[in-house]
Amino acid sequence: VSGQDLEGASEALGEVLRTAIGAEHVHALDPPVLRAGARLVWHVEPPDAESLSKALAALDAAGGKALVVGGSTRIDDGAPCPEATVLLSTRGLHGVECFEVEEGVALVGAGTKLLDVLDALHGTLWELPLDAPGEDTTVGGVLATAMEGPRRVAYGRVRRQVLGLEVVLADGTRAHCGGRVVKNVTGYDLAKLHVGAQGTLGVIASAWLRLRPRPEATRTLAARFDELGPASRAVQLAARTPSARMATLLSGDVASRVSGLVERGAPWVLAVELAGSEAVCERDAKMLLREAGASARPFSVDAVGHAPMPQAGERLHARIGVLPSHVEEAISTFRKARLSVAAHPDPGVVEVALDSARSDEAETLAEKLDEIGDRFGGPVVFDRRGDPWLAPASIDSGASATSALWADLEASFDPNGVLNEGRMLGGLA
Amino acid sequence: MVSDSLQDRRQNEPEHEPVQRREATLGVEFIRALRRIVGGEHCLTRDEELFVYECDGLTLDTVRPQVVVLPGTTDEVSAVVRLCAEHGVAIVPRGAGTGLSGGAHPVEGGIVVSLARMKAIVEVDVDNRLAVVQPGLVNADLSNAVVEHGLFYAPDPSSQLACTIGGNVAENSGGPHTLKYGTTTDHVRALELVRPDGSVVRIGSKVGPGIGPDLVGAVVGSEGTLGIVTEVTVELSPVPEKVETLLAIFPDVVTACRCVGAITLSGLVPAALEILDRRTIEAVEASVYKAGLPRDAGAVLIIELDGAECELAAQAERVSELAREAGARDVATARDEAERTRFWKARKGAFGAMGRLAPDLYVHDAVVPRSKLPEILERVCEIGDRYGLKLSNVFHAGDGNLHPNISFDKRDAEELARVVAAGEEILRVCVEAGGVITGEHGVGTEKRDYMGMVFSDDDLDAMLRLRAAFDPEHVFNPGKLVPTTRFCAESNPKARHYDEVPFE
Repeated sequence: VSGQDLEGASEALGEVLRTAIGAEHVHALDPPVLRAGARLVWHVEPPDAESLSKALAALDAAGGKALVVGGSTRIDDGAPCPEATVLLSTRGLHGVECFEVEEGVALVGAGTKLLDVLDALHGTLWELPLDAPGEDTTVGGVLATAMEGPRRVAYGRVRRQVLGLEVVLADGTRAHCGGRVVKNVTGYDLAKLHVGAQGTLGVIASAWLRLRPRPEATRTLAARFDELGPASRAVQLAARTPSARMATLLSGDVASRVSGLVERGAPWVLAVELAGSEAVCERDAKMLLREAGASARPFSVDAVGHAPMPQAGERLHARIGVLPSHVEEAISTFRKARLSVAAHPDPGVVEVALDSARSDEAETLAEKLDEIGDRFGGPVVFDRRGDPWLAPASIDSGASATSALWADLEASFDPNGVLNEGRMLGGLA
Repeated sequence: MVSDSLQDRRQNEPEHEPVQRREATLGVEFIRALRRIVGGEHCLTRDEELFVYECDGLTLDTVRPQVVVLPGTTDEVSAVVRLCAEHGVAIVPRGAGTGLSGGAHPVEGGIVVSLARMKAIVEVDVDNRLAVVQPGLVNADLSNAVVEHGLFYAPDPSSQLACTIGGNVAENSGGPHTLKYGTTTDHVRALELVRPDGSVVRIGSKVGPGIGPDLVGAVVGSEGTLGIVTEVTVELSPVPEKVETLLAIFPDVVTACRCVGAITLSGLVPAALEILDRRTIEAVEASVYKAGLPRDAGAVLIIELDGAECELAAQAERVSELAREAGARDVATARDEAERTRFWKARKGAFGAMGRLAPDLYVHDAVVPRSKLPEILERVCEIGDRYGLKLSNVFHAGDGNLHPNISFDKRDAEELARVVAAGEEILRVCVEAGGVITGEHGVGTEKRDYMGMVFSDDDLDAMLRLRAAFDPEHVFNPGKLVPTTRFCAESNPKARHYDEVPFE
């Protein structure tokens, strides 16, 4: 296919999209933008779900392929999406459409930043139990990636906060699932499918979210450790403390990115946030001081969430599911390989990263992570593995049994591969 | 365009011809093959054996199955499914049959696969607060087995002394304590699943989901339509340090509902908020579940708080204040474990106690926004009165999960018709208020044809896409959960090809 043909096809696609949703929502990217392994020539930002539906129906009919993004916080993480030419942004689906104070639920557009939702809830009884890091992180992005933040001990899995969704499928179908009530078994729980599906089964347009009562009191505590053993035991103790909202163990290099956490040079740093009644926070803080040497420290929990995020130039960044009983062994293994570590024992996840100066070791270490992943109980998720523009990334080494089901789902929901093709199955396809 | 898609999908569904299929496939050879797989004593074909399988807890209609098999291992389940796949026989998986929406009702031409024999606790991992169990394990048996380690299994349906974990997975069962602890889906990490071709897959992990669609989350609550679950990895919760159980007495159920709203807005999250209305109290107090509830009360609200010992007394005091402010004439705190158990015996025995009121009981299930409880309860009671029915309410008020229960005699066709009509009207009222048609009992056959109250054709089409990915031939539990043309023949003659019958 000649360059001229490609250009003609691309222009035709742009015309189809402009006709579908209006020229003001479709912009040519000149020069094309290279992201997530794709050469993107059109930026499309539908202003509402109906326009999103029209854009996708047009795209599907024209054989187009889209890379779907929210705040682009983690656009370069995960498997590439090489065939996409359209950057489809959900940012136009913005706003807290409904906040039911008496219910503790809210309907939020997918393109709404988490920070904007927090603003809308400010001063109310309720808080948003989603805290994935990133200033531009959107609700849709968090749901599509199932990205948890530092307060995962208290908030639990992202999926738990979703009561209902409006999703626009690849052919433009607008489909709702779940509802706005806090308990519901009416039909298949399709929201569970879309949360974490990387936008491959449909584009989340809006979500009914469950909110949590704001705690009466919060406290942040920290402790430094020279040895892994006591540090590991301390983080597990902290994670099972009744008022724990965050319990994270950071290797010194990661901890040094958090201002005010501890003095520099600490090999291991425990960061804890307690939340609840004054009485329980007081009691648990005393216990953690006594048992783990953790004392009050004024640091930003958000900064603890940011610290382990993939850094510029990193070629290996992974999240490994680890059972609490294996946390110490897992951290020890990763640390021996001189990886940066952030460990959250409950739900058990250890984030590891390889310093960009050692990029040449990335693939060898990635293979090692693949091998040892099963030993610790959970899946290995690679956010970065090698150069995402050059080599397809493997998303989940332990997924062979389920990848066939994923493929069947993709075929059922998006038979033409319009949405984020390759993003989920990546190297497994 | 989009509506056509649903029409296409429905018309492309596998065509089952139930009666012909039964005659053609469930013959002697097929049944012999089943016996070879599970053993003769675990393949039931005699009427007296099959009688108990003709319905589940939804007794409005019954279908006598031709064969019920009770496999003892995953391999046997797999072999049974393979055999059925070869012969085009539909399969209805079944736990204890305590479901209330007809999810375990047999289908004509199919077989019932009971998982009752697969009831082992495979592993208890105390350190990681996990258990691996077989699907036939009775819910309460799991908590009983782990309580010595200071752990329990949180989902606690009223039927927990009989219902099974596999059934709970199928229905995404709840219970009184889901207000704080969540439903079954929040406690399942991994599943072993037998697929329609007999293959066995493991989905999820002991740590929980990684990346990608949450397949475990999709299977939980799928009412046995996506596969047969043969092993379940569940989370266990630590037994709380302390529990306080309060009983607030109200002049009427609407006032009790207002109290629930006040507690929700206080920022406290009780473990349970359960309401029993006057008729339920009367039934309970006249039964073996008698708990000393005041017979002159219009309603009682059971409020359970659990958590750290250092904060519970203050919370209980706050809740008492809120209840009195809302109109409670009295608030009592259970003085000891015996009294607490008595309160809960009354609550969990309420459905059984209603057996005194009439031969049959229709346990309804719907959810409304919690703030709408007072007005909806008024309307539900008005509907019951208007239809001249004995309607009582015992429900999970903290979740907005109503259980209007109608006591009736199904031998009285006219009364049965009123029960069904009132039930439908109650659902409409709940949906109009922003609610849904089931909070924990499932859709099954009972509410399949009401799904259109909540979901559009496009919404249902998306559900069928999920079904198509897991079970394109609708081998498992056909006709349940999602309305399809085949099973909506009454409302759509096209489904039975009546529209193709020549007129001459």
